[in-house]
This record gives sequence, structure tokens and C-alpha cells, in this order.
Amino acid sequence: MRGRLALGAAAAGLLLVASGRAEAFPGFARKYSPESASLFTFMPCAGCHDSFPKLTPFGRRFKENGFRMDGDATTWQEAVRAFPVAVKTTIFTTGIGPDSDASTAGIIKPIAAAGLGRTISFWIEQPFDVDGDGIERRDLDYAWIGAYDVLRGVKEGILNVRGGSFELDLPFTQIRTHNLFAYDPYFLSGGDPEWSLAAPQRGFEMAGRPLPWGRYSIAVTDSVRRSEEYQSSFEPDLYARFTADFEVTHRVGMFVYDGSDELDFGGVRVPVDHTRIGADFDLRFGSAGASLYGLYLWGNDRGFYEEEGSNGGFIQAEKLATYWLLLSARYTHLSASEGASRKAQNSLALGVQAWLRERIRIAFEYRFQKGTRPDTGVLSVDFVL
Amino acid sequence: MTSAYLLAMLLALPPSAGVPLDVQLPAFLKALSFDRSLAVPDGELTIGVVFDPAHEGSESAKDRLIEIHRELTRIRVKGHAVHLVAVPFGPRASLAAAGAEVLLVAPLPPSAVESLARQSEASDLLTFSTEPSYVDRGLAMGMEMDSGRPRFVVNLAAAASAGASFESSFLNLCRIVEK
Repeated sequence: MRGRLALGAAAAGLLLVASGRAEAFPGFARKYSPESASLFTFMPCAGCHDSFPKLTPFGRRFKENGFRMDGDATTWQEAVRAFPVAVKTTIFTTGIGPDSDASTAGIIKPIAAAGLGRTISFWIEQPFDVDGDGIERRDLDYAWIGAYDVLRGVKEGILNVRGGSFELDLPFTQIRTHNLFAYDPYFLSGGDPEWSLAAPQRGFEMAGRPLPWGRYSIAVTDSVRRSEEYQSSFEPDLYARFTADFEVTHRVGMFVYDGSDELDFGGVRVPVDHTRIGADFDLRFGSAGASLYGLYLWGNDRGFYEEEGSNGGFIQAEKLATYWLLLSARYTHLSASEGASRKAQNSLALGVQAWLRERIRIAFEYRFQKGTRPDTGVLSVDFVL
Repeated sequence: MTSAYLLAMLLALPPSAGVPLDVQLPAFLKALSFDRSLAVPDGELTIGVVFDPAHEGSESAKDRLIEIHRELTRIRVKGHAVHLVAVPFGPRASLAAAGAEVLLVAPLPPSAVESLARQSEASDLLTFSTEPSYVDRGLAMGMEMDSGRPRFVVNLAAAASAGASFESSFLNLCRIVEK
């Protein structure tokens, strides 16, 4: 109860902060805003963010260009002077409803990211967990540097490369999702506790747009595993994704993943592998303020765990009731085999998100589910500076 | 031959502006929220994209602006949805017939700029030019690069003639053209 009171107090505090004329500086918007001593920027958050932090097609293109607008000729010195740093703060409370596993905590995440000149781009974020026990630094899982449009002399946009620790080019980002509940199909793992499609990966990625409507990305990576008993030797994993855009805002795609590890589990070397193939769609109806998107994936997990085949998908509909209020509904279906039997789990998550002064979001989601998990709700307040 | 070349040069569209269109459109929409006089009669702000169908560069800029706007799926002006309509500009064009509250101007042949400025003033239509030099020639607003950062340019007389009344906090960020 004390935690929820703290959440309420924090939300009220943020509202007070937001009630003034000033708006905060997000890192990218500042680069494209007039020189100003005041606190507002002229690139609206809603330019790149559909339902913060979900990207609009405009923001998606900006990201895929290494954080550059088309025709951007700013130098790396100018990019650095724009101070490309932002801080995201999240306070959330879980376990609202029959689920008794309740907790309230926060995350403070400084992020530095920019396109430096015409070629180099980078992203680095360092999250800190904040709870009753104090502040704890998380692992540095998302830090990469890339070279963009390196073959522009041959043809523009056909090759970007990046290396470091990053999220795979998933159809819908998990680490920067605007939803409070995770995209469950990503977390089908065949019982492997240290692997998921959405986990950070270390390696290299090539991506590009050989056609105006078509984009590819191919990554060679190794899964990040942390526990002593799951330390693995380097076994390269392969992920590839292809997308096609149509009608400016719509996108369909497919992806494949094949990853192997050899785990040292209690002194025994155990080979494991995960394969996935999936398809996705993302339809944006801008004039109606609506979107419909989803994916389905099929997979196999071989190793020593209890589950061996994993299928699942979701479909999500969103509608802006007004420009600051988003309603969402997501139906998820999961199916995992265990020996000869197969377990199914379906859920329906309903959500509402409201933005205040662009930089502040209050979100609530409630999930009804059949299976082993109880119904539960999550409340979250985000503030970006 | 030489005179034909010079004529072609005179009729040519100006070089592309320093500020990318991707930056100009969302920044312009935000700037509109600082116009205290902006009226949106039917709940949706209609912006006319003025272009010259006889010039490929002008038409492609118009297409690009409309495409960018479609990508900006959530953007609003004072809470109102924004609708872009193409407005071909020519000797017998009627700006008022397009039903736009504001005009967004793609690159035009030099001779068309003064004519557009006169027509927009007569129709009380605020203009935003993708070419900053047009602001010095009578259009109301534009954007230019200043030391690597975009900057608004406002022609106060033209803006006032169109009925715009910008907040001082916005005008403090602009280069002001007073003529």
C-alpha cells in the first residue's frame, strides 16, 4: 500500500511539474529545433512517437536512418552541441487485481544517442532500478555503434552496419514497447530460463533498403547469458528480417532465427538450440488515429528443458480517443508442447494511456487470461526529460 | 542558345532549402500552435500545399510533404487533426477555393512568388514557405539554417496581413523580416 501511495504522490508531483509552460528536451528533438534558451522544442514528440514510445512511420524511418532526417547535413560537431542525451523515468506498480504478487518500483534510464555527421550513429543506455532497497545499476545491455549508408556512393540506403549489444530487429520492439505487458510470444523459450527472442544480443547487424518499399536486416550475434551455470561458449546465432512497406504507413514482414549454445550446466556440456520463423503486420490508419498490428511465430527448442515446440502470436488494436488518450486491446495466443502434450494459454489485455504535456505518460493495463496465470493489472507513470 | 540557357536559369527552381522537409513540416505544425488567432472552424485544420504542376521539383516536393504528413500519424495542432490538400498554383488558380486555412508553399518559379504573396494576403491566408528566401519576398513564414540549427523566419507584415498573431515566446526564436 505504501508503494502505491508513493506512486500516486510521484504522479501528482509530475503533474505539478508539467503544469507550467515549459516542456522538456528530448534528445533528438533538440537537434532539429531552433536555438533557444527556453525549454521547448519545435520537433513535437508526436512527430516521431505514435503512442510514446511507439514510433510513427516517420520516427521509424528516422531510426532506420541512424537518427537522421532525409537530407540532414548537420556535422558531428553540431550533433554533439545539441547534447543528444535524454533521461527516461518510469514508476510502476504491478499485481493489481487477483494476482497477489504486487510490487512498486522505478527505473531511471539515461540515454545518449545520435547520428554524428552523415555516417556514424550510436546508442547507449544505462538503466538503474530504484526500489525500497535503494538504487541498483543494471547491466549495460544496449550499447552499439554503427556506420550508416556506407555504400551511398553506389546506391543510397542499401547498407548500414552496427555492432555491440542490441535488441534484434524485431517486428515490434520489446525493450522500448509502449505496452506494459510484454509481447509473450517473444518469451516462448522451451523452458530455457536465459534465452528469449527479445533478450539483448551481442554481435553485428547489417541492414538496408535496396528498394524504396523493401528493407532487410541480418544479424550475427550471441545470446547474452548471465548465470554461472548457463555460461556458454560462443556459438553464433543468425537472425534475418525482411519487410515491405505499402501505402506509406503500412508494413508487413517476416523473420527467422536460428541460435545455438553449448551450456555448461553443472559440469555437463549441454548443446541447445532455438529456431523461430514468423510473420507480422503493422497497419496505421493515421487519419483515424488507429492501428492494427500483430505477429505469429512458430518455433522449436531442443535441449534439456521440459518444452520442445513453441508457437504463439498476438493481434493488437489501438485507437486514439483523442490526441492525448489511447485505448488498446491485445489478444495473445500461446501454445507450447511438453513431450506428447501441448499447453495453450490465451489472454486479453486492455489498456489506456494518457499523455500530459507530451513528455509524461500515465498508463494502465489489465490482463484477463486463461491458463495458469491469474488476471492482473499494471499501472505506470513515465516521464522523459 | 545562350539566351535560352539564361531563360532556363531564370525559370529554374531555387536550390533546395537547407532545412530538410522532414524537419520543416512538423516544426511548422508546432509553430502554428503559437498563433493565437488561428481559427479551425470545422475541427480539422486544412493546409493547402501550393505547388506548380509545370515544375517537377515543385510537384515532387508537394508529394514528399504529403507523404511526410501521412507518416506523422499522431500529430495535431491545438488538438485538431491536420488535413493536407494539394493546391496547384497558376495564373487562374483560386487559393480560396481549396478551402485551406493555411498554405504550405513548395518551391515555385521566381515569378510566381510575388503573385502568390498578393493572393494569399487578399484571401487572409497564412503562408509557410519551404524556401526561406520567399519570406523576404512577401510570404509570411519559413525556416532557414543558422549555424547548423534550423531557425524560423517570419515576415511580420505578411503574417499580420494574414491575420496571424504569434506569441512573443515564439517570435523571440525567429529571424524577423520587417517589410
